[in-house]
Amino acid sequence: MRKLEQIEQIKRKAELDKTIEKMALYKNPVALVNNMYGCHPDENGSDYFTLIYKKYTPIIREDTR
Amino acid sequence: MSLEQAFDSWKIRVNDKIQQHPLEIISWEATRACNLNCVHCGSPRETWVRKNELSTEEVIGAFYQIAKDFDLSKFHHINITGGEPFVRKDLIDILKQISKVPQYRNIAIQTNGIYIYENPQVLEELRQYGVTGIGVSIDGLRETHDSFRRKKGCFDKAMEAARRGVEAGLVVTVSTVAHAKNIEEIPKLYEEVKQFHPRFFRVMIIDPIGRAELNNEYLLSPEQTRQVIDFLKQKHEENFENYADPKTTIVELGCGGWLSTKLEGRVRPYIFHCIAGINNLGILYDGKLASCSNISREFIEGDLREERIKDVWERRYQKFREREWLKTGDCKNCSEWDYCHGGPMHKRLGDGTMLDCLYQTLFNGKDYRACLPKKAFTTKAGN
Repeated sequence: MRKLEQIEQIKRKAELDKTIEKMALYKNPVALVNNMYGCHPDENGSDYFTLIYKKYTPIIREDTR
Repeated sequence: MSLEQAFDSWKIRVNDKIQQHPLEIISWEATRACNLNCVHCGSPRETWVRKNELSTEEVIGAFYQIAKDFDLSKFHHINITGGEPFVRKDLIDILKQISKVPQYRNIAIQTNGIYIYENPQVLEELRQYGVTGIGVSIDGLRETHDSFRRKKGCFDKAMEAARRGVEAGLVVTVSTVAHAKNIEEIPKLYEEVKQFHPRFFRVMIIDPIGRAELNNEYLLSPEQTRQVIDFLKQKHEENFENYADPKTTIVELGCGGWLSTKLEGRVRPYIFHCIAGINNLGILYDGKLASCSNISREFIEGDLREERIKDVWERRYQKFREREWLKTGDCKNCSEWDYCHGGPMHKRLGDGTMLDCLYQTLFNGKDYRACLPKKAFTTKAGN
């Protein structure tokens, strides 16, 4: 049982790390910073949070703008 | 790709962004007037000069001038702060006019919630004129919040305003300033707030600016700062898998500073870098031009009544883009410099003196309360 919990923890940590990788690679590196008070769609109307947190979303490519 | 490589990529692209400095966000301090008188206000009205406030026409003219002079192809949003923005009787008229510019249809307003509570029909007008989000300040449970507002009933009004905002389809942020007299209540406040599903529960660690500067018993000790960060980290870890669901409340630490590659992305859903003067323009209540609306008036770089905003943006904001001059004191030999470039500008005095640093507090236990420069008490940042 304990081993299963440990495996689960490792999986969650990997998932969390994946979200941070996506944040770091998000096309606009400062768009969301201090993006105060609630307006979070990006300039294309995409929902940042779906991109970052939805499982199996592909890694975002670097900004080519 | 390793996380280290991802952060390296981020650093490079932040530097590219600084080079390009496209205008993406306008922070407009609508007024310094307020219908409340909070103990810890970061933008107090003491230095507000009513006759200097921009008129309706001047505000609209400034936003139109920006639309004409700047390339707004990457523009993201307008952030309206105060004082209390709704104290301006012409706020809706201004929104009605400026939202005619297509790029200005993503607007957020920071409010204490009183006006919305008393005039809930305004929410529909706000939506109609480009407002997509509101931030409602709630600084503790009922008794604490009301005590800080110095007025009873404010907590219930703020909670109701936020709840109605959610119902009206706005993206609602509940903003809480964490200070020494409310941090024990923050977990319970979070539990109460998330019942009505605001999108964000934003915690800002109190800064030694505005009235808090004069009431420094509210400033956090290093242990208390760590307590706040640990709480946010715990909630983030518990809930991040549900963050794509708009009904999930996301916890986030406000723009208090860089936290290290070990913590960024784990206490807020993005990687922090101060944006003042990089993609963010601050227009103060009297038309003075800064790089953020929450910055020391020692950093005023121009006046829209006297010059084109674009000229000021292009010619006088170098100090916000080339920050080597801030690499002194604790920053001088700091390993994090390449990530944070000296941290948030609202924690700097005009001569570059840093009021505090979250990284130094968290990782080196530095307590800035005892060493706030005397100048901080006479030259108010945030004023």
